[in-house]
Formats: sequence, structure tokens, C-alpha cells
Amino acid sequence: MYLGIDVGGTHTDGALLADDFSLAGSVKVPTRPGDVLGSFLAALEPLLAAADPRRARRLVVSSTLGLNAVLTGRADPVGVLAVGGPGLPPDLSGQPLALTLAGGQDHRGEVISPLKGGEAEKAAAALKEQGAAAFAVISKFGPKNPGFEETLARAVEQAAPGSPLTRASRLSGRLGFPRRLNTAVFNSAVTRLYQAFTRDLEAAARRAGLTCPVQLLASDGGPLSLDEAAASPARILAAGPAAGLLGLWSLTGLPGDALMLDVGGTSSDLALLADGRPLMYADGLEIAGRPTFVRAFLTHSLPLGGDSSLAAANGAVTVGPERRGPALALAPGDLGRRPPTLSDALNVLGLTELGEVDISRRALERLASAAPEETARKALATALASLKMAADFLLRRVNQRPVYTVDAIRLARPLKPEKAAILGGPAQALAKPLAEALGLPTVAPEEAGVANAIGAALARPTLSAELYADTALGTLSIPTLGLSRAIDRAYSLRQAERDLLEALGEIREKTPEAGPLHITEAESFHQLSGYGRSDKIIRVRAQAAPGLLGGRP
Amino acid sequence: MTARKLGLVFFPAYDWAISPDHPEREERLLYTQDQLREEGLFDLPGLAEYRPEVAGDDDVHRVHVRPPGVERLAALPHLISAGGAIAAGRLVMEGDCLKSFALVRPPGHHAMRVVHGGRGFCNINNEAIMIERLRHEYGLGRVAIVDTDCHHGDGTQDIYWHDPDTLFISLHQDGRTLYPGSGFIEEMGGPSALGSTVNIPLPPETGDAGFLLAAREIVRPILDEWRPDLVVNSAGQDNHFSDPITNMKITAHGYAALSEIIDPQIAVLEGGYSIRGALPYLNLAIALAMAGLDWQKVEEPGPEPARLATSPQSLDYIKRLGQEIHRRRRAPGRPADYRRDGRWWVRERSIFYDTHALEGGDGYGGAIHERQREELYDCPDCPGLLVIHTRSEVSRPSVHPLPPRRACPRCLALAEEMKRA
Ligand SMILES: [Zn+2]
Ligand SMILES: [Zn+2]
Repeated sequence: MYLGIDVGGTHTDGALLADDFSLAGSVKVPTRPGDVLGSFLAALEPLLAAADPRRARRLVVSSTLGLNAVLTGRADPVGVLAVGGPGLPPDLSGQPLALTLAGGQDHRGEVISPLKGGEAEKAAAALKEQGAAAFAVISKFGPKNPGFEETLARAVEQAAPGSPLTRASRLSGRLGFPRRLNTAVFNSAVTRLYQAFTRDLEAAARRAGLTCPVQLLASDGGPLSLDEAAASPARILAAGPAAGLLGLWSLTGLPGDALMLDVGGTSSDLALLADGRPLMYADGLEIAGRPTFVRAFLTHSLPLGGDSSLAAANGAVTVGPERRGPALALAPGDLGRRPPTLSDALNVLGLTELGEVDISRRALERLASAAPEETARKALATALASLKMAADFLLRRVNQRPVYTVDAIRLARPLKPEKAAILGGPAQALAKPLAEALGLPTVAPEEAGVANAIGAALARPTLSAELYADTALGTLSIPTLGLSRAIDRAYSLRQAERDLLEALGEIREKTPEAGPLHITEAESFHQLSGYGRSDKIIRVRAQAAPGLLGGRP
Repeated sequence: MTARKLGLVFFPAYDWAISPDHPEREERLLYTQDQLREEGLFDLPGLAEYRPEVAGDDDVHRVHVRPPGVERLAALPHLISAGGAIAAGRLVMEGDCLKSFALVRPPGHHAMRVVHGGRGFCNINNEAIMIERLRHEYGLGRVAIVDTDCHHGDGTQDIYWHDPDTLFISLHQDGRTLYPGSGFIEEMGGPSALGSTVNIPLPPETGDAGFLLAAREIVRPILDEWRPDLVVNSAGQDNHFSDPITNMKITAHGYAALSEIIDPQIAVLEGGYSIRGALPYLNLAIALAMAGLDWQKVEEPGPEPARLATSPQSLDYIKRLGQEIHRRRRAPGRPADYRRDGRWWVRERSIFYDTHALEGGDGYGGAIHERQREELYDCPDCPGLLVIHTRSEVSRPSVHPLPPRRACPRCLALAEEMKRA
């Protein structure tokens, strides 16, 4: 059997799946504010009440622990050591504890000026002195040549042994200094938090009798082992929407292009399936307002949900963005003290029977002079129009994504959803009107209540890495795997693809549930150089994409 | 929604080259993309990256004449490059962005009105195709094009030679020392558009100071006086000190400052073949300048500044050149190269093409020589009907009546009559 637990903002869901991946048990409990571990246990215990914990094959947990720590300033202060290069100097303005050292390398990873001996050690000690509890080291074009980062890392290990330390290009092997910097800083900032959390989680799972691997869901929909999670917590710290989208994906099994909506209490997330697979961000997630290279499902959020407040003015009814509490039907005492919610409007329209329907009617009567049904219809129309606009915006953005080859333009096919799937509290009630508004058949799966936990339970691990090779310089680098070595002039794209698949394959052997590895990008450029030399610049990316156990690979 | 400061249409055509060892090859924008990504340019507030469109045959034929015997003027890569310029233009016209920069290849500024083949790596003229599309779709009026490529933008000059509503200014290395060997101050536009072409031939070895002097004292006053509705920059980058096929000494800072002075709404990349040493830094600096961000911090590898200075003699020469250009604009006189034949102005020329239009293989399948005779009707009511007689090794003699955009009824009727004949 397979277990999934999602510790959300208001509820903690648990799902127990049989060996054939059918749903065999579920639980939903209120989340204990500020107590992820306690909430986890509160869901785990009833889930295991009628099952033999030793038969569990895997437990996957998803939570927003790290993001909350970052947002509430409970993360560690991070000292940053940086080396620049031609172009713009490193922008460290968002980092209170940061130093740029002399030295630099260019866009091919060629060292233009070396580090000065002893400077890195001095800088690391100074940052520690100023209060850095964790460290990140980064150089411009680090993925092409991680040499500077290695030197900086050794200096930090000497000055502050045992402190969390992230080598930026080990965590994200893509070009984009500011994104690598943010990713590395977030990673170091929550490393100690996750070291402690994974220890506690492991202990709690063992106490509950579980003998299976325990994993944490990452924001790209792939679970990480606890060791991996403690080493690269940036990948899990904002896993919020991943579980719900995986769950909806598994419950609806939509083929082709589709729109997925997760309508919560205060906000809605929209995501897209292309050819039956979730679309990812081209670069990465924005965390606490900062762009990163954290791989994640592409989502668009809007401040609209079942608890959004209604307001009436000049005959129109607006929905949100404020939220001042649940539906008045659930809190009759608040009638007259605050406006009704979208859920109250759904009650009045007979789409739901939540709490005291009559309170919803009276609240809408007080809101506007029109009949409550009329007001409710307007509120629903406003909400549907907002969702439709958001869906159109997301689609436009995806269909305008830049491409870089003539073939990509020739073969480009615009994404065009044929169906929609909806998840969340008011999902069942909204499915039909939403289908009309979007002009798409819309499904709301039955087990939607614990979709997040089901998604976590079924998540397949993901893998990804990139390889850079330059035969003129004789260098090869697979930054996130910490591999760099010399190559000769004859090194080819085919060899590069084989080397990358082999390196990732070794990791995949330890994560047998991961899907198959694919080359996703492979480019080889001839470099123009003198004397008829034929040198090449090679770039390859490979991945095991997000997937679901028992379903699609 | 407020407009973004700068929209970037980046299309490096990573799967296309004119031929395997040609400078116009797959990796030309590779290092630029690496640099721009590494700097996080596309994530800066107010900046965004967009996809190019594909220009249609309509767009091409709105600008170019395809003589008989020439099958097609453009293949998909050319149409995407021109479509990239159109996408950039549309971002500004639609108000999505205040400014836009099309970083596209292949270039287009050597492509003239009539196209028998390729000239200087160009088949079709990206800027002209964009401008005419914007005029067609949005009713755009007066446009100024400032060409800052090191080579004279002879193609763009030819297309707008007779158009009094399009100001074409080219700053370039003196044609006596560089391809295509044209762009002298005497070239000021056709008989009905005198003064709407401005050529600023600069001496070899001109550096930032010389360029900025020309921009401030020649280009800026002409733009201010002419008052265009839109300024387009043909942003070639081969004036850089490291460019392998030219002899100028401009730096990334020089190009950024130049962009600030010209202040174009739309820039379109043209030439520039120092793909490692120049383009990554130039494109970064130009994009920052266009977005109104600080470009002074951009550093590029290179010799010490003193070695890139403009000589006092050159500065003096450019000052005098400016005075001469302004003097000629005030009193343009009679158009050079033309003779009168009744009510018609007549000019005969030969035009050289280095490649066939859409040749595969090595692309240098043999040069083409066009013989062209231009006849411009001296019309009191409009810029006048233009009739082009053309022939070459690849095309039998043909006649093309081309009424101007705002042709009078008589010129239109005349053109119809000639087409029937
Ligand atoms: Zn040029
Ligand atoms: Zn006329």
C-alpha cells in the first residue's frame, strides 16, 4: 500500500492506496497552526488504524513548512560569497550579508581574472562574524565552470565548519545568475529547518510502525528522499500547488490539452496539461517574490475562492479579493457584521446546501436591493468571468513562449484545452456553470476532497540535469551532479547524450519509481575558429518527467 | 495594465546558417543568449521576452519586387526574422511595451526594393517589412530609421529613396573603405524626397567620442526637426572594436549612449560578427539603455580605453562633416545621378548581388549583376509614379510600375495602364 499526506493551510488530508493504487482509505483533519509534525501525525494515526503499517511501501508528505519559514522571517540568515565576470557585476542588493570577490569568468566559463589567495577565507570569516548562520557560494557562469565555487566552498568549510552551505551551480545548472543566487540562498536559509524536520518526521514514522521510505514532495511533483530533501530543501519549500495538481491529474486522467483549476477558500490556481502532461515553468518558480530555478508546475493564481467577500455597487457585484471569513451560512452570528461570500451566493442559487442556506439568502438581501437570486447570479457571473480571463491569460502566456529554432516555429502547435477539470470546496457546484463559461466540458472528480493526499501518494520521483561541453576549451560540466572533466576535440553530441543519460541513470537506479529518462534538449554548435579547426559547443538536458505510479509513466 | 518598458523578441535561429562556415551561422547569437540569461535580463522588472511572428508573402511583396525568374525571395528563416521585427513593432503599436528590440537573424538592411538575389547576407529587408506592415495595419505615418550598422544600409536607403514620409539616416564606416561602397553625403534621396535620406560616412578607427559627436550634432537635430511618429534603429553591432570585418572602435558603452541619444522605440539587430567578444555585451548594454536602466556598469573585456580613443583629426572631420550635411539639407539643389526625360526623372544603375536568392549549398553559387533603369514621374500632386526596368543573369527584362503609398489618381491610373500594357 501507498500513503500520502498533505499538510495544507487549513486542512491536512491523508490517503491510503492499495497495492493496485485504488483508494482504500482517507482522512481529513484540521491543520494545527504552526505544527506541521503534529498535523501530520493527526492524519497518519487514523489512516493506519485499520492497516498494517509494515505493509506500506512508501509514504510521501507534502507541506508548506519551508515557505512559511521564509515568509515569516524564521529562516537562517545566509552569507553569500560571489565572483563576477564581464557583463553586469553580481547584483547582491537583496542580500544583507554578501561580498563580491575580485576575479571573474566569461560566458564560456573561461577564467578572465583569478581569485586572490586568502581573500575567500577572509570574506567567509567576516560574514560569519556578521551573523551568517548558513552560506551560499556563487560565481557568474558557474554552471560552465564550477571552479570558483569550489574554491569559495572550501573557504567557507574552513571558516564555518558544519554550517549549511550551497554551491549555487550544484543546485541549478542553468544560466541566470539572479535565479541561481535566489535558489541557493533559499536553500541554505531553510537547510537547518529541514534537517530537523526530516529527522523528526523519520522518527515519527518509525514510531507509528512504518518501515517504508518516507519522502517529501517537491514543487515539480517529484518526491525526494529525506536525505535529498535536507540537502536541497529549495526544491520542496514551495511545493504547495503540486500535490493538488497531481491529484487532479490522477483522478481525471485527461488526455490531450486540458485546463486544471484548484478553487480554494481564498485563491484559485490554474494549470495546464499539454498532451496529457502537466506544463512546467520554463525557468522556475517565483518564491516570496523572487525568481528562482526551482522546477515547478506552471500555475497562475488569482485571489478568488469560496470565501471571497461579495460587494455590490451600481448594480454590479464584485467577488474578492478580500476574504473575511467562511460563508455566513457557516457563521450565522456574523450576519450583518461582514459581507456574504461566493459560497453564500452558490447556496442561494441552489448549487450547494452549505450550512444554513436561509442565512445566505438574508445576507444577499441585505447586500443589494435586487432579489437575492439576481445578486447571486451576478456574483457567480463575475467569478466565472475572472476565472475565464485568468485561463485566457495563462494560455496566451504559454502560446507566446519564446522559441529559438526555425523547426520549433514550423512545428509549433498552440495549446488548446479540450477539457477542464476542477478541484476544491465549491468544485462540484461550479463544474456546470464553469463548463458554460469556458466553453469546455468540465469534470469535478468524486474523491476531490483528498486529491492532494492522493497526488502525494502517487507521485513519481523526477530527475533532471544539464551538460555543457566545449571542445575548444576541452571542458565538460554536469553542474548539478558535481561532474566536470577534460574532453578531447573529437567529443561529440552523441557522446554527450550518452554521458548525461549514464550519469543520471546511476541516480535513477537508486530511485526505481522514477519514470524513464529522456533527452529534452540537445544542441551542438560548430565554433568558427582558425586553421580549419572544427570545434563544438554542446549542450544537453535530460530528465525523468513528473508522473504517477500505476498510471502514466 | 501598464505597458512594459521593453519587449525583447529574441530569435537566434539555432538550426539555420547561410552555409557551414558563413559568419551568418547557427551560433551567432549563442553567446549573446548565454550572457543575457546569465544577467537575468529577461527577469528584470519591465522587461519581457516574446516570440516572433512569421512574415507572410503579403508582407514581403508590400516592400519588395520579385522579378520574373526569381522563384521566391525568402525562406522560412528570413520570414521569421522579418516576423520578429513585425512582432517587435506590434508590441509598441499595441501599447504592450514602450519600446522593443528584435534580436533576430538573418539581417536585412542590404536588401533593396528589387530582389534578384542576396546582398551582404540579406535577402529581405526586416525593418521595411515591419514598417510597411505597421503602416498597413495601424495607419502609421512618418517614420525615421537610424541605421547604426558599420556598413551603409544601402538596401533600406533604396527602398525609401523616393519616400518623403520616411527619413533614413545611416551612420557607417566611409564607403571608400568598406562594403557596399556607398553612403556618401551627396546621396540625399530621390527627386521628390530630397533630404529624407541622410548619410554620415565616418572615418575608419572612429571610437565612442566620434560616434556620439555625430549622433548629438547630426542625427539628433535632424530627428528633432523632422518630428517622426516612430523612430526605428537598425542596430547593427559591427562598429565594435573587436569586429573582424570592419575597422571601427566603438564599445558597449558607446552603443548604449548612442541608443540613448537616438532614443528609438524599436530596434532591430542587423550585422555584427564578433560573436564572442562584442555581441554579448553590446546587446546587453543596448537592451539596458532602451529599458532606461543603468548600462554604465556593463563591463566588457578589451584593451585599455586610450587605445579606443577617436583621434582629434577624426573628431574635427566629423564636426565639419556635420556642418556640411546640415548645409546641404538646407539647400539640397538638384538630385545627383538623375537626368530629365520629358516629365520623367531617369537614373540607370547596376546592382551587385553576391548570392542567388535562396540557394542551398555554400550560398556563393555565383554573383548576379542587375541592370536597372528607374523612371520617376515628376508629379505635382504626389511623390510620383516610379517605374523600374530591371534585368539580370537570372531574370529576363521586366517593367514594374510602383505608385507611391499616397499616389494621386493620375499616377494610379498611369500605373494601371502600364500594368495592362
Ligand atoms: Zn554590417
Ligand atoms: Zn501623382
